[in-house]
Amino acid sequence: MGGTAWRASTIALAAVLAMSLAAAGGAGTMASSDVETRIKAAFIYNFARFIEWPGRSGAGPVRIGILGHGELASPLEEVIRGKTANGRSIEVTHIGAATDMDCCEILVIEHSESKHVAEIVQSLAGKPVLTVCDGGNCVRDGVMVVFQIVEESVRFQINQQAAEHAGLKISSQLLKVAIPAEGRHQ
Amino acid sequence: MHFGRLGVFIALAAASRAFGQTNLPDFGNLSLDQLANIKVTSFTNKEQKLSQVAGAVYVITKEQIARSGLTSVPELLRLAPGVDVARVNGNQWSISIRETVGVYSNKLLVLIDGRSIYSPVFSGVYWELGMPLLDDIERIEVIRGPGATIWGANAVLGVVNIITRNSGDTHGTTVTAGAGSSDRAFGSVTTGGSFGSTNYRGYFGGYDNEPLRTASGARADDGLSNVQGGFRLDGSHKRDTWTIEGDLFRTEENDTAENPSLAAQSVVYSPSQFTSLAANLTGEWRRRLGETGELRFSSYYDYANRPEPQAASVEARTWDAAVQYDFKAGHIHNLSVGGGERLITDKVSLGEITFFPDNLTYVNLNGFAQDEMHFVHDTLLFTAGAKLERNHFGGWGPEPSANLLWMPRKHHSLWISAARPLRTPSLFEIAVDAPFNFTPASPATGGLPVLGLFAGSPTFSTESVKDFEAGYRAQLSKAFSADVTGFYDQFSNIRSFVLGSPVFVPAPVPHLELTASTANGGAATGKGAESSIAWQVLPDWKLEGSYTFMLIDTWLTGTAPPGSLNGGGKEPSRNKWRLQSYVNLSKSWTLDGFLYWTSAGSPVTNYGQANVLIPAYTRFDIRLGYKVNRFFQLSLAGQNLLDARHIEASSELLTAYSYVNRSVYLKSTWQF
Repeated sequence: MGGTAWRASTIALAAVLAMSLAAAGGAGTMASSDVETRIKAAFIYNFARFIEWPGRSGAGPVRIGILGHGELASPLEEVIRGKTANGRSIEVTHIGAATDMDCCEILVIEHSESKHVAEIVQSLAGKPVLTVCDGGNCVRDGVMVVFQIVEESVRFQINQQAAEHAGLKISSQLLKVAIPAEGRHQ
Repeated sequence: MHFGRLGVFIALAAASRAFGQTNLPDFGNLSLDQLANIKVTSFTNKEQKLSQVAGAVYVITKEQIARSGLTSVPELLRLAPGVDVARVNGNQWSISIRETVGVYSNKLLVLIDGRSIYSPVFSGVYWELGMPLLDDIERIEVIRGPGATIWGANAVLGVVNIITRNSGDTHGTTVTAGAGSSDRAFGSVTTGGSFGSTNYRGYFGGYDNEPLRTASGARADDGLSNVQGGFRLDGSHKRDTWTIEGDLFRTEENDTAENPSLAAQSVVYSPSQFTSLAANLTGEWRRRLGETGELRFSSYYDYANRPEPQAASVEARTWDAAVQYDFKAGHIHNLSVGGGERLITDKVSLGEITFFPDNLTYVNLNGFAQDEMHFVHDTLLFTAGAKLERNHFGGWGPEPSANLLWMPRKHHSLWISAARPLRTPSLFEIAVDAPFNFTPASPATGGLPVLGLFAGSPTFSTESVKDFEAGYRAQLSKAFSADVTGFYDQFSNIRSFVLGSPVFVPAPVPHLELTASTANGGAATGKGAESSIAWQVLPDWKLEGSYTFMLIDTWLTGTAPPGSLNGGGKEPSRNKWRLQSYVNLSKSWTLDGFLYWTSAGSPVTNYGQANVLIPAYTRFDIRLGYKVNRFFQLSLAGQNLLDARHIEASSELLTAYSYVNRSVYLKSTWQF
């Protein structure tokens, strides 16, 4: 049944694969193309399109500030490339600790800052900045938009009260896609 | 429970092996609705999520199922590393993970959407009965190693979790039809849609298989044909989601019975035919509680009647109910608690094999708790838990496990684990009485023929295993990932047989009866390593491979009474290679190949006849797929192409083995 020949060829193939394993390990680039974060980035771009900021409807770019280190920055830069929101250009800026956090229309709080969310939200109280956070625990800290995985899809909750308090107008189209509000009060 | 956290991770995992990932769409151009409806599971990077599972897990994806060209669930398990798959005959498979191989392998739990199809009558799985249509399977999760803390008894050294597709993903109608040399004819009709927020799917299908071959190439008496139908409903409302599904099966099986006969003074082989029936109904309801909690209630009813040539019916009815609550406590603790009951009724109609009792109803109970603790920015995970289970035959038993996982860098994880799973007795081991071999009269037997009987023992009790494992998993580049696992298992109280004294029986002809009764006098160690790789060589060419190695040593303990028997001893090492290649030739053509080599099999304890040594064999399959247009697809597949026929397994009790032969088939799929 030609078993020996096939056994030899199988082993040879495996050896080739093992060598490639070593080679690939050496090359080891760590590019992350996580689709989940790319969907979140696309949503953030849509927030720029479907939210109105008071007094800033005129010229100038929509600025998206990123606070801390995490996975959202690079897909966000990628997704806004060459795009506009209601005729305005879009900018992504990284915010250092010293910079004023209200420099932006949208503030994305990355994973590394998850422990300081309450302070950040407090310092922005009443200012027209849409705060966005990635993960379940920031809902109770008063962040306006919080991403969650629901039924294997990326969805988000909107804290409408906080957003209205800051003077933001959220389009009904966005609210329709958001996770219904009832879970928030538990 | 299959929808639990592990399930989600594994689902996420499956994705990176899908094709065309290098060409992700620009999500910025999608509508809000489209964005909200992308299933992360069908895209998200596998290794990133799988990197959080401290265990040896492999996922057979929908894509792999379609492109393998394999035509049954047991054969599909060849795609997973570390699974010993051998076809015994037309309707029996010997499938095991990290244990002694055999039809009656009993340390692998198999679930379909959370419903156990592990038979309470004989401790094992009837692989030919009750399987979903392959086109309706979302994925098959194969867990090597214990899963008892979550899945309970008999998830000793492996769990196979077959997950069917959500009916929300299968709207429209699909008609398949095919014909071939071994898969003589097969087809199915599936239709789905939604009313309101409820999705539905209904299906009907069947197949008619040609028998395998005898050693000389003649057709064996082991044809198999099956018809089945079923449905699945999925709905959601605010915080609630639910699923209801059910199936009916009628399977015609041909078998060659092995009956020791005093009249013929030998073991007599006779063709037999019987009809197996199976039915099931499963419901699951989930509610989100707060931001991180989920409450889940599931219940199922399962009926299987899989006769043997020597018993007109062997029925098992199972009603199971389970509840589970998953929640987060603070930033560190991810807790799962739950419990359940299982009401089982076994009923055997007596023939040449008898059961005492032949009709029994009993309840098994369980409760469990598990805590997954996250430390150091989710780079160090410690999980500990235990299930406490009451089995009718084995009494109360704890099934603890603990594992530690460390991610030194992104895409790299190291883990160690320890567990003590249990294998509970089945009715067969308690109650059976079956003639299984015949020794002709000779001076050594005192001039009388000897009839060997196999007998259950009411004192037969639970087997246990102490399992220790360590593993490393890495995504070394965007295109290349690899993993390696090592394991060491200590088996205690495993099944042995005690030979009684010969008893003189004057009728129908004077003979001696020698009874071998079940006992717990065996012990064993198993050790081995499994490794696998996945390599996207080119955007349109993907390779997957694996190698597994295993040694098992079985012996009788000091407490075993004199005259004890236990198959095994030191088995020769088991080695297995697998390589799969997937090539997209163009937008409409695909060419996929599968190479599978396994070393010579250990002599299987064949109670009825002389042990058969299974030679090493290589299997080579190839499949050509052609997408004619967006409605119509064709595929041509050839299997076992390297030889006219080969043997893969010996038989065990009561039935004969066959040779697996070369085959081809053509399949068409019409979707609208």
